[in-house]
Amino acid sequence: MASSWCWNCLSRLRPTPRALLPPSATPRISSAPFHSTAVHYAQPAKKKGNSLTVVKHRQSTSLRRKKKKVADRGGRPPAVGERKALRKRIVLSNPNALEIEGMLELSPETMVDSRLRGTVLGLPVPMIDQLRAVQAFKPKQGWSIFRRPGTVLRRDTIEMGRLFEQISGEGDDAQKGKVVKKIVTGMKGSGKTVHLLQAMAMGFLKKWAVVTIPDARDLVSGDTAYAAIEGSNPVQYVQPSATSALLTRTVDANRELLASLKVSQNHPALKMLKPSSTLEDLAKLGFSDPAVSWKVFQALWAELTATAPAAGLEKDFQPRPPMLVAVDGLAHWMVESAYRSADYKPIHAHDLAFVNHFLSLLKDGDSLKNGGLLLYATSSSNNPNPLALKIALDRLAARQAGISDSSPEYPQPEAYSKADPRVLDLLQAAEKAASPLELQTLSGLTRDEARGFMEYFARSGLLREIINDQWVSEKWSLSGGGIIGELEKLGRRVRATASASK
Amino acid sequence: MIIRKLCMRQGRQLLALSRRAPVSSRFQSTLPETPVETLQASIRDEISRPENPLLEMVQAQYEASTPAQQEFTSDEPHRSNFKKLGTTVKSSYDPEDVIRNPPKPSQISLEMLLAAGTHLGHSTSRWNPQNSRYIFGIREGVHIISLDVTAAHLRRAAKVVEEVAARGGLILFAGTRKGQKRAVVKAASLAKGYHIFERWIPGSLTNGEQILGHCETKVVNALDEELPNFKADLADRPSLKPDLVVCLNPLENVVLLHECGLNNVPTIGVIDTDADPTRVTYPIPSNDDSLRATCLIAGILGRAGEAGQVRRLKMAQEGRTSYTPITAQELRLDPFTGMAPGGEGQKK
Amino acid sequence: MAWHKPTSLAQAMQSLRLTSTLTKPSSQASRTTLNTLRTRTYATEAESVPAAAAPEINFGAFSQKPARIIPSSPSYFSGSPRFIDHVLQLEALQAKHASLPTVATSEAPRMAWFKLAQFRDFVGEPVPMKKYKSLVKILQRLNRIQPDMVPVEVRDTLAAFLRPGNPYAVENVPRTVDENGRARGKGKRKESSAVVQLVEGEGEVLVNGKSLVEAFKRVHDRESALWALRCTQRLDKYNAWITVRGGGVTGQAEAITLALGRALLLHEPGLKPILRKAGAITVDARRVERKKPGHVKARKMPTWVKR
Repeated sequence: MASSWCWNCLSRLRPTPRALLPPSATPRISSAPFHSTAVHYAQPAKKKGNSLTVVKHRQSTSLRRKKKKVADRGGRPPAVGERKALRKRIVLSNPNALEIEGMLELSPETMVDSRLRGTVLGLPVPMIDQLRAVQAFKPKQGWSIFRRPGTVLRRDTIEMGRLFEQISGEGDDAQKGKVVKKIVTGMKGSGKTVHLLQAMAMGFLKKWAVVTIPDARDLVSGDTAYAAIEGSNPVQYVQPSATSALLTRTVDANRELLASLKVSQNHPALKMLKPSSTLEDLAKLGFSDPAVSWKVFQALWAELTATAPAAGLEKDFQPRPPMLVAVDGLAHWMVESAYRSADYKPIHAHDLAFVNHFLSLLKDGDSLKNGGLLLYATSSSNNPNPLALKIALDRLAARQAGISDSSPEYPQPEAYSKADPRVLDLLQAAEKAASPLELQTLSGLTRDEARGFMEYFARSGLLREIINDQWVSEKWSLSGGGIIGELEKLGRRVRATASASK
Repeated sequence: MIIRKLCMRQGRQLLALSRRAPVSSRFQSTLPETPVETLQASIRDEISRPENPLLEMVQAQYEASTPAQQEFTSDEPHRSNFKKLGTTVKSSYDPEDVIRNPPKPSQISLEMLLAAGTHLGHSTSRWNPQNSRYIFGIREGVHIISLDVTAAHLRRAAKVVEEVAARGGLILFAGTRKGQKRAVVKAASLAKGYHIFERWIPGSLTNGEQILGHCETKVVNALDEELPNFKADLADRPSLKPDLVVCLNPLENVVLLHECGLNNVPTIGVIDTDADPTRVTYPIPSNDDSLRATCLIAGILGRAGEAGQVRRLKMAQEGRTSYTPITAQELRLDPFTGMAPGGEGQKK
Repeated sequence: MAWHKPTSLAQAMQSLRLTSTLTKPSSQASRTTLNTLRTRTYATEAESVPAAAAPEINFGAFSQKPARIIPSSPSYFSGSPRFIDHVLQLEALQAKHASLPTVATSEAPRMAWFKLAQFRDFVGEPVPMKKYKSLVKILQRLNRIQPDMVPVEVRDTLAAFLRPGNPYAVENVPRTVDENGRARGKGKRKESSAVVQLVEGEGEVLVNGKSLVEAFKRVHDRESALWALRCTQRLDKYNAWITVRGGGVTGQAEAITLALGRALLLHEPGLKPILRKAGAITVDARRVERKKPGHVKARKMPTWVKR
């Protein structure tokens, strides 16, 4: 700093008057103009770059990083329903996969052939549209990796095939008109839904009437319209749009069958019905007008289960075929639904007329007058896991194992547990019906079946391994004892080293 | 002017000369002609045969039972025979000597001290000016301690140790530096004193009841034989305090010396040029960083203590004590109140 | 009177003065000096009593008369005299027998020295761990002397430091497959510990009563859990009943690897080199490093910003 003393003459220099000085940020240096003019009029010294940032009080001292901007991909957001459609899209063919030479198709002959056990049978191509119509395929079942959809002929499949033969009145021990009721359970990935698919395929092969509910949750999730049935006590609710959707599915899938059957009963509720119309026309009434769909459904059900024509309509009566009723995700029907009653209480799923109709099939003795198969599968991927159903299924298993309900080993709900009594009552009654309810637990494939399944992968070009017993049993153990879903995961795992080593 | 300067310069030399001559003659205990050899010879005479397990093995050869023992011991004569072959080095320095067989105070010589390096002080910048009277000069930036002063103070300290030992005092040798352990233990065993070679626990004197309370004591007679009859009377005695503390590294043991000061315990300390000589009662100006120097000092003091103990026991043999022995009656009295344990005893 | 009983220190000073000075000081002077000097008495000395004529010496009684109270150990002032005496005694022994031939540590007889708590009881002093370890080191060196040349005194001294009872007398029995054909193996990894019961069978695996698929969702975890069986191609030869507790999924899977490898070794010891090479019986002793104060995690430091 310049001193205010002149060191040559040792005299104190007079300070510059304030007014003469430029307004500046430089510290005021008081000295004579002839000594240090330059200092005064020079531009104020620029501060160094980093000291320019003013430190505010109460600023955090931690590291400040620039936040990444979310990348804007531009364009419009996907249209309404587009992403759901993408999610639900079902691809049944992969043109890159190899065509398998000599692959057999599912047919009335092959489906009971125990020599073919463990092989993968292709689904007949014309039937695929029917199966799509009843929504038998689910998105994540790995259909998209093979050339064409096919299923393993496992032990349960062959048994079911025999059952179809029996009920249809063919084969050795024909029991025409028999009703078989089954609840299908099993671990996750054990093939319950595919088992239903196989049943549907067999139903179509055998020209049965196939009625399916591909996802039981849709009926209780509160997505569709509902209305109370007047005069019912306790109050029941109908779901017109869900009913019309079911009618659509049923007609699409069974068009040929329904077109060949004529109306044989009187339906006073349906005034617009012509006496000579087919069942297809009957059902079409329902999906053109959801308001009457429930009545149409009841009429259609009455027609399909009719054993004899009503008076005056005997002209074109044909015997009705057996029926297959397949429901997937039974557990959703054993809890309270997402619907609310007028006083805003949750509606129990059993109070929905539609659900109640299908559940009562389990309970009543000869619910299907013309015989048929009821397959109600539980699901483990989206499972409300009701306690009552668990107990009821345990009881069913105990009864099958020969334990009477008075024995101490018979499963009882725990004290103070909130097991739903309606569910327990329903299944208790179903056990004691004329044709008893059965519990079918799907377990893993056997080693031979697993081998056939893995060979199918290899022949499709997905798996580049030498398949021998060693390898198969290794995969069998890794998949928890041949759980088919896990086997599929193992089979489709691409090994980077496999191609290099071969 | 020139003459004055000359006189100053030469006078200083003359003074130094005149000072050095009587010092050497006064403090050299041995003849100036062959001081080293006499020292060696005197030490050699006293070398006791160290306990050698190999010799024992040789002696036990006849009783050797196992074949391995026989094999090992049968080789031993050859080994000892071969050791005698070759030249004998006479005046060699064995670092173990000063520990195994320390010199007596009467053998202190300036040569011995010089050889041990007691004269080497610290760098001049680290000095404590209170030590200026012990300092002879500066060499290569290092203070040199005057050997004659060292010898004089060492003799005085040896005398103190000897007299305290002769009067039955407890002498504590403290050397907590690494490597001083053996010298300290040896000195304590010679002087029948006590040793500290690990950390001094602060408060051992000022808070002795807590720290030394659990350590055992005993009652001895004038001949140092234990009297087990009085064991019960030792129950609630205060912990013992040393009567003299010899500290080889006062710089690290400030707490010990402070406690001694609080308890009026006289101390002897090896004072280097950077130490404070007022911390100890009897300073020995010497290098305290050289193990050889401190071991030598410890050994000399240990020998002094040994001589004192011999004197005391000799007197005891004659039935005399140079101290007031504690009486049986006093032992039975309560040590704090001076009353009989029953509470009704008469005040003394 | 106090001056009648000069302290031994004063006496020592006096004798020093007598020897160093030629002139004998007057008794009056010495008395005053002693009076001023007398500030304390020796610990070993009694309270001052009036002087009395010395009685007739009776040597029988003299040796029975108490004279001093002294510490029983030269390491009295260290605060842990018994421990230090032991150390010094052992060091002396070690130095004395340093030249005796020794054997390797593995061949030396196995000795169970006192544990620290037992040793503390033994000496009755609070000995720190570090110091006791240094003592054990000396014991081990003495123990390494060639067994048939150990001197009696060394043997006796070492015996004093032995734990009561002989923990090495019980030889641990090598584990084998039990009478039901089950081999039991235990394994640990991270926080998990697994117990595997392995029997001959067809490759069924149950983990905590559930199937492998339910226990481990990831295929990788399943593969690593069964790695011991897989790398030896024994997957279809054994059934495993597994109990695994603690930790996370990966830790549980790898704990099972180890347990399964060990159990398999009991069935087929010949597989050891394969299992070793495959890493199925190698213990991974790593655990989570603890968080330290001043750190964000175990080692991570808070970010440092200049301003």
